[in-house]
Amino acid sequence: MNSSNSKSNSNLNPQSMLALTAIQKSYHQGDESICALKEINLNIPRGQFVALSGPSGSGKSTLLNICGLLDQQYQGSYELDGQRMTNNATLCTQVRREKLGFVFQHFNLVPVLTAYENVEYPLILNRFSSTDRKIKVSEILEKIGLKDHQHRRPDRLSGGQQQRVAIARALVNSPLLVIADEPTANLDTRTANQVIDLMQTLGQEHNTTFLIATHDHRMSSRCDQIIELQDGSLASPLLHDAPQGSMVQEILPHASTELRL
Amino acid sequence: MKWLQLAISLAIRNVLRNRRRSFVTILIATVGTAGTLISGGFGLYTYDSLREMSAREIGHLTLAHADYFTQQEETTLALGLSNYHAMQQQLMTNPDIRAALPRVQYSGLISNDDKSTIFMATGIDPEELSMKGPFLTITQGKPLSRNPSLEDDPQVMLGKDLARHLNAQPGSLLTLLSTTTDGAMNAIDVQVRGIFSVGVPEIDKRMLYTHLETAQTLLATKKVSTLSVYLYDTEKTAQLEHALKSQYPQLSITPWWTRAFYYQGVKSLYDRIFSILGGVIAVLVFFSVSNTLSMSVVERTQEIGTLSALGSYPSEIVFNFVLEALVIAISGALIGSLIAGLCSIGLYFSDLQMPPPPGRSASYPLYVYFSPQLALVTSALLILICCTAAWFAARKGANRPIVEALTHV
Ligand SMILES: Nc1ncnc2c1ncn2[C@@H]1O[C@H](COP(=O)(O)OP(=O)(O)O)[C@@H](O)[C@H]1O
Ligand SMILES: [Mg+2]
Repeated sequence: MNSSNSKSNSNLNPQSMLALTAIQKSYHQGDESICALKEINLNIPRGQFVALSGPSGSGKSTLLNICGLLDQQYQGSYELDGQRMTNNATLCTQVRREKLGFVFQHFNLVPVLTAYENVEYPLILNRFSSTDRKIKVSEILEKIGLKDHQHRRPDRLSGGQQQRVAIARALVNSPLLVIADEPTANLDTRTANQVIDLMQTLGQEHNTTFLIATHDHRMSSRCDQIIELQDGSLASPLLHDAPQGSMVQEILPHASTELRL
Repeated sequence: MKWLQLAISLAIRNVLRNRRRSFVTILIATVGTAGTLISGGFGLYTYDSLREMSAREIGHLTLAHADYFTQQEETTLALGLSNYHAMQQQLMTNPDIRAALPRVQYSGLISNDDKSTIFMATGIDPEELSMKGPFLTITQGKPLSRNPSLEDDPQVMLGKDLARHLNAQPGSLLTLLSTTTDGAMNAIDVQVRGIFSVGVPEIDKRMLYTHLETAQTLLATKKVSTLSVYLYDTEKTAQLEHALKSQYPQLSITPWWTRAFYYQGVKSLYDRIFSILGGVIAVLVFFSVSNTLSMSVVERTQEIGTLSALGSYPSEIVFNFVLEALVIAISGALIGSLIAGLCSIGLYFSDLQMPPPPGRSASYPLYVYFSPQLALVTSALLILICCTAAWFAARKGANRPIVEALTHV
């Protein structure tokens, strides 16, 4: 059973994949308390390719960790595909397993697994049959152009190849949402472009929402939407004159003051 | 079960990942297993030898007057058995019994023409000497003859040190002095037939054997002290003890182990040594495996974070480490058992001698048994120890906050 095939079940906004309301996050270090996110309200429709930009320390990773259910210590409410996320660790693990994908800055492939096995891993976690796994993995390896290298372990792949494998791993299970924290920061321009292309193409094919933290302009210039973070708050949206510019209205992060009582 | 298959394959690959460290850990598990099996095998061999020796020394079961072992006899053979011929015949109908041999225990003075010394003697059926097998060595002369001719002097076999003390050789003439059942002194001339050693200086210094009839003549009696029952199979002692107790309720039936004080002493000493040794090995293996896996867990913190992010449960991650420990434990158990087995075979052909144990004068061959049961129990314990160590080591890493694990360098 693959729940990612189920359609959005939010009654309020059928388009909304991700709805954050009044998210706040503080880090505590000794007596000091650092407020990393202040009153974040955000709505992202399904299938969007969204860049989260902002200077270093502005809270991008913090926000992604919350959206990716890696961090449950926050205030506010988070709905994913209409489902309210609680801080129940088992539920969060299950949602990550079934509905989310991750791409990391340092690729984070399992070093003892081959490219093929790394991509297969999420399917095994989700108990796909071996035939289904074979079909899905082969198909996506073909698409990322690494069919010939499928039996190589990560240490015998270049950085760009590793990140492509990581993208395949994130998408093979057709997740609702892929979280990518600085996925091109460790790649040269040419490779970065390939990686961005790949994420866009595969994202569109799987109708997957992408939330990508980056301060790489190569990346943000190609996104449907750019969300700008500054000192833990959303800055006014910068709209890129992308072909999908007509969607501006929908993807506007609503200003925190307007919607909060 | 592709999931389990992958988990096992992953565990093996992770063990091979840091070959040097895994090698050292497996080596420790191997040495631990082999050490346990070899020392345990030596213990088992020792117990077995001592058991056979004790049982053959005194008989698997001793039948005596109910008070024989608890009270002092007021006069010689006051607590002896008189109807032993009938009992002997009855006992021999039991197919488990190899022999039922009467004995007369007595003591007195033995002298040559020049000096006398105290002796402890057993009047025996010469067949008893063949029961003792390798545990009685005739150093000079011959054993007591089966059918002594009535014209010759009665025969005696002397302990090695007793013979030396009396300057006696096979053929020497000596006199035995003792008290008869009536309390009178009596003497009998005997001729040395052979000289023996049981390897225990205390015994070799005092002990002598005569024919049963010689003893009965000297003591002027028709009774015997005890009937020693020898079995074909030492394992059946307890079973026979039970049977004979109901057959002869008026007698005391004593299994060999209650009178085998040397066996008891050695066994309790060895048991204690081996349990301490086993405990030390267990602790050593536990900390070594803990250490190895803790290092792996810390090194792989980011990987643990990644797997958690992808949706692995902490229990699944801990399970992976436990599987790694299992791979280490199984390798150690197999190689260790193999080494112990080869060692057992090697010693069998090598003829290495152990120095005499305390209170003994003869060295004995060094040999270790290979016990499959001991190997199984040791392997099971090793697996348990390794898996527990892995569980402790991995639990903390797997339950760490994911964000923290992912940013760990
Ligand atoms: N684990 C942490 N403990 C304390 N402070 C943290 C921690 N992680 C992040 N911060 C602080 O939170 C703020 C936002 O950090 P982060 O989300 O990593 O920013 P970005 O990803 O945009 O560079 C920064 O001020 C940072 O110092
Ligand atoms: Mg960051």
